[in-house]
Amino acid sequence: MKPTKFIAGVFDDPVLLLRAAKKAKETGIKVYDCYTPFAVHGLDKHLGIKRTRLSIAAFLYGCTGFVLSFILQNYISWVDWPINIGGKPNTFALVTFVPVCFESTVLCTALLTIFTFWAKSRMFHGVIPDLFDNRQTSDLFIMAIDADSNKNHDAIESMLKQEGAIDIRKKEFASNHSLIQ
Amino acid sequence: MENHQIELTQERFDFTSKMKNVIFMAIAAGILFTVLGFVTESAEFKMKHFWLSMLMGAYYTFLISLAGSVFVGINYLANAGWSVAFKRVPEAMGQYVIIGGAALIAIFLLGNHDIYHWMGEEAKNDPVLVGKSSFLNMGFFVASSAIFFGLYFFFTRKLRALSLKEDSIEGQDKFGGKIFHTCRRYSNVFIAIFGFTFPVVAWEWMMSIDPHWYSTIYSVYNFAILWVCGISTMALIVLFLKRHGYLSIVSKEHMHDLGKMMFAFSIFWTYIWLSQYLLIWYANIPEESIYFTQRGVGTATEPNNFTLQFWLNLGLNFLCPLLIFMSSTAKRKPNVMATLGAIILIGHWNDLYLMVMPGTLGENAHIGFFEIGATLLFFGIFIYVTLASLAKQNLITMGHPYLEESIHHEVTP
Amino acid sequence: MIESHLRERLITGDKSYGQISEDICRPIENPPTKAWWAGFSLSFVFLCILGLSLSVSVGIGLGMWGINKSVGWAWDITNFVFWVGIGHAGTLISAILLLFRQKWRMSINRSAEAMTIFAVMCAAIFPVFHMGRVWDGFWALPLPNNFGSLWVNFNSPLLWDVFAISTYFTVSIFFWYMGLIPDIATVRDRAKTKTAKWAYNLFAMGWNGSMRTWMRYEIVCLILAGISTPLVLSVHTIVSMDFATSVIPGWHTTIFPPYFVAGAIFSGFGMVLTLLVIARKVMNYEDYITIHHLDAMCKVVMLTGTIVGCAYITEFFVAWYSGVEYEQYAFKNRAFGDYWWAYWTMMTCNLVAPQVFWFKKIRQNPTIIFIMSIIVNIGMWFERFVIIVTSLHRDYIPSSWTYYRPTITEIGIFLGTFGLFFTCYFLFCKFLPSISIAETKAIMPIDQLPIAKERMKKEGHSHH
Repeated sequence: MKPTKFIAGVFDDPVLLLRAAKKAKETGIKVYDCYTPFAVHGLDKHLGIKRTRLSIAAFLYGCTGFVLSFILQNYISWVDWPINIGGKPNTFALVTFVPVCFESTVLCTALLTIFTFWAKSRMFHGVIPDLFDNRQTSDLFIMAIDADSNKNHDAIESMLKQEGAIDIRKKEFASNHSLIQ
Repeated sequence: MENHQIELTQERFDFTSKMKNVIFMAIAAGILFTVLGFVTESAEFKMKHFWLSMLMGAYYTFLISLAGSVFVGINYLANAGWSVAFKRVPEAMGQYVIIGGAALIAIFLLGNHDIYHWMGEEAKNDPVLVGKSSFLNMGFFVASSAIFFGLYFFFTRKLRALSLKEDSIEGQDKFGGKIFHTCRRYSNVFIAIFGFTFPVVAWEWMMSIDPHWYSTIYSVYNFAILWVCGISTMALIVLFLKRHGYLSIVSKEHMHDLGKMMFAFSIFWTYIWLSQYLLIWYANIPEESIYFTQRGVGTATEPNNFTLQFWLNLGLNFLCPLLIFMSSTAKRKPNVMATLGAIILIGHWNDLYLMVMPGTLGENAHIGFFEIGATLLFFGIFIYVTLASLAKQNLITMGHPYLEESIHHEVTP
Repeated sequence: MIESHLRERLITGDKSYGQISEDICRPIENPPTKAWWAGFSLSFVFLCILGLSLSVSVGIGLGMWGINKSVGWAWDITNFVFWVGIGHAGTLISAILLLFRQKWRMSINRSAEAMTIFAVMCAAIFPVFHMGRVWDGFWALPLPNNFGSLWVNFNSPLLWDVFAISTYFTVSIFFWYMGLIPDIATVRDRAKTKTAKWAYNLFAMGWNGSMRTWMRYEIVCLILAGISTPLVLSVHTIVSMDFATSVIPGWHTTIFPPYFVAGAIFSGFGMVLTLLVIARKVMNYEDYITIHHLDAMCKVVMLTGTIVGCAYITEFFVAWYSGVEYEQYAFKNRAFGDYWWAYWTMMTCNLVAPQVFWFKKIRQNPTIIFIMSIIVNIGMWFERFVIIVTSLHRDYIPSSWTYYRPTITEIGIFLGTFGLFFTCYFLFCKFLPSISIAETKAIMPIDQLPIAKERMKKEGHSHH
C-alpha cells in the first residue's frame, strides 16, 4: 500500500476550527478527522461522526457479568459444596447474592467497555503516534483532509486560509500509520 | 459580562373550567367511593379501614407536595440553574403542604385509636409502649407535627413570595441576584430544618403504626419515597403543561434531566429498600423481622395476602424504571416518561400501602373503595391547589438570574 | 453554553490554552523543589516504619497487636474503614459530580482520584495482615476446595468486601487512567528528554486527539461515571454491612449503609481539602484551585457532616425508642462509658465543628479550612473507633469485659500507612499532571480566552 497524504489546516482557536469544519461540509470537502487538545463539542456534527454504540456494548457486558456471577455463586454454594453457615440459605439465595452480583456487573462493564474502546480506537501501550504538530495535544487544532480522495488542493488550501488557519501542512504518513479509522 | 436580553412574553396558565371539572369529578368520585366503602365494608373493621385509607391518601399527597418545596430549596442550595425554566411547578406543588398537613392532623385527632395501636387503652399495659410514651403521646404528636408542617409552609410561602418579588424588579437591578441570595439563605435554613424534622415526621406518622418495631433507616426510606414521587409528579405536571402549549422554554434537555432524576432516585429508593431488608433479613431478630414476615415474605412457601404486592413493589419501583429509563433516548420521549411517571406513582402508592396496612389490618386488609376513594380525594385536591396556584401568576420566573442559563440548558457530559 | 454572570470564574488569570499546559506541567518538567524533597523524605521515613511494623506483625504474630478476646477487631478495622472512607471522595468527585454537572470538580478530580487509589491501597493492608497468615490471603478468592480452604461463603459480608474493594480499586484505577491518557499525551509531546518521551509514550497509548476518539472517549467516561456512582455507594455500604449484619448492639442498625456512605464522603472531602489547600500553594495552582473551589468543598463537608450528625442522633433516638435494653446500654456506654472521650471527640469534630462553614468568611480562609480538614479527619477516625471498640469491649458476658489499648506496633502500622499514602501522592505530583489539562481547557469559557479577544478585534465585534 502506498503512504497516505494529508493536507492539514492548523488552527489556534477552536471557534475557527468549528467554522472551517462547517465550511468544509458546505463546500463538499471531505474532512478525514480533526485533532484537538480537548473534545470540541459540535465538531462531531460537521464531521458526520456517528454516535458510538459503545453504550449498547456496555449494557451487554453488564448483563454478562451479572449472569456469570449469579451462576458462579449458585454453582459454588448450592451445586458443588453446600455448607450450612448460620442457617442462611445457599440455594438461590437472592438477597445475599445481590452484592457480589452487583460488583461483578460493574467490573465487567467497566473493564470490557474500556478494552473495547481501546481496541476500537487502536490504542495500545507504546504506540508511536503520527502527529501533525507536537502542539496538537496542547494548544493547536488540526483539521486533516485526505489529499488523495480530495482532488482540488488549491481550493482546500484557500478555504483553510480564508477560515483563519495559521498554517497549512502537507504530511505523508507510512501506510501503517496510526490514524487509520 | 453584559446581560443578554431575553425575549420572552409573559406566560400565564389558564386553568380552564374543563380541567376544573375533571378534577372535581375525581374528587367527587373519591367521596362516592368512600361512601360506597361505608356501605359495602363489614362493620367490624369499617372505621379502622376508613381512617387508615385516609391517612394513606393524605400522607401520600403530603409527601409529594413537600417534595416540591424541598426541590426548590435544594436547587437554591446547589446553585442549580437548569431547573429554573419550570421552577414555578415545584413551587406550586408546595402550596398544598399546609392543606395536606392540616388534613393529616385532623385525621390523627379524629381517627387516632383506629390507626395507632399506641393510642389505645391496651397500650397502657404494654411495658414497651409505656417506655415510649414520652415520645408517642397525643400532645407531643400534634404539637410537633403542627410546628413542623407550619415551618415547611412558612418557607414554601417565603421562597415563593421572594421569587415573585424578584420577577417584578426592572431596570438596573434585574438579574442583580440580590433576592436570589436572600432565597439561598432561606433555603439553607429550610433544608437544615427539613433534614432534622422530617425523620421525626416519618417516625411519628408511619413508623409508629407498628409501635413495637423500629428501623433507623426508616426516615431515609420515607425521604426516598417523597423525592422520587415528587420528581415524577413534577415531570407529569410539566408534561401536562407542555401538552397544553405552555412552558415552551422547557425543552427535551430539561425533560431528559428530570428523567435522569426519576431513574437515579428510583435506584436510590431500591438501595434504601435493600439496605433495610437485607440487614433485617440477615440478623433475623424476631422483633425486627416480623415487619417483613407480615408483609408476605420470609415464608416464601406460605404466601400471605401481601406477597403479591411485596413483589409488585420491587417490580414497579425498581425494575420498571431501571429497564425503561436506562437508555438516554427513552428519557427524551414524553409518552414514555408519562407512562413511567404513572408507574412510579402507582408503585409508591403500593409501597405506602405496604407500610400502613399489614401492621394494622393485617389479614383483613384488601384494596377496596376506601383506599381508592381517599387517594382520589386527596390527590384531586392536591392537583387542584397546584394548578390553581400555577394559574395565579406568570409561569416563568422572569427575574431569576439563572433563567437564561436554564433556557439554553443542554445535556452534555 | 451560557452562564449567568453571578457564577464565579472557575479558572482565573486569563489563561490561554498553551498557558494551561505550561502551568500544570511545570512541576513535572522541572526538578523537584526543596519542599517536595522534604515532604517526600518524611513520608518515606514513615513508609519504612510501615515496613518494620508489618514485618514485626508477620514475623512474631498478631500477639503484637492490642486485640484481645472481646475486642478481636480494633485499630485494624478502624483504620481500614478510615482509609476506605477517604478513598470515596475521588470517585464521588469524578463520577457523581460529573453526573450532577458540577464543573468545579475539574480542577480537583485528578488528585482526588489519585488519593482514592492510594487510600484503598492503605486500607487493603489492614484486613490482609489481620488474616495473620498473609501468604494464605488468596483463600479469600473463590477457588475450588482443593486449593487449601473450602469454597468461599457467599453469605458472608466479609467476602462481599473482598469483591467490593477489589472491584472498586480496579475500576478506580482504570477510570483514573482513562482520564490521564490525553494528559499523558500532552506531557509526552512536550517532553524534552528521550527517556521522558519514551516513558510517557508508553502510557499515552498513541493518543493523538482524534475527534472520533474523543467522541468515544466521552461516552466511555460517562458510562464509567454512571456505573461508578452506584459502585462507590456499594463499597461503603458493604463495609457497613460487615458490622450491621451482625446482632451486636450498636452495630446492627439499618441506617448504617447510607450513614457510612455519607461519612465516607465527609472524610474523603476532609482529606481532599487537607491535600489541596497545601498543594495549590506549593505547586502554584491558585488560579486553578481557586478560593471558590475550596468554598464549594467546604459546603460539601458541612452538608455531609450534618447528615452524619443527623444519623448519630437517629441512632441514639431509635436505641431509646426500641425499648431494647442491650441497645440502650450500648449507646449509653458509648457516650458515658469508658470511651466517653472518643465519643465526644467524634461528636464535636463531625457534627459541631463543620457548622463553622455556615460562614462564608471561614469557607474562604485557607488556614482555617486546613485546620478544619484535620479536625474532620480526626473526627471520622474516632467515629469508626467508637463504633467498633465501644460495641465490642462490653459484650453480653460481664466477665469478658475489657479495655482495649493499641500497641506500639499497631500505632506504627497506622502511622506507616500515612507514609505510604503520602509517598505515593508525592510521586504522583511529580510525575503526572495533578490537574486535568484537557478537561480544564474544555471548561474555559470560549469567548473569554485571549485568542477569542484577538479574533473579535479582527472581526470588529461583528458578532456582538
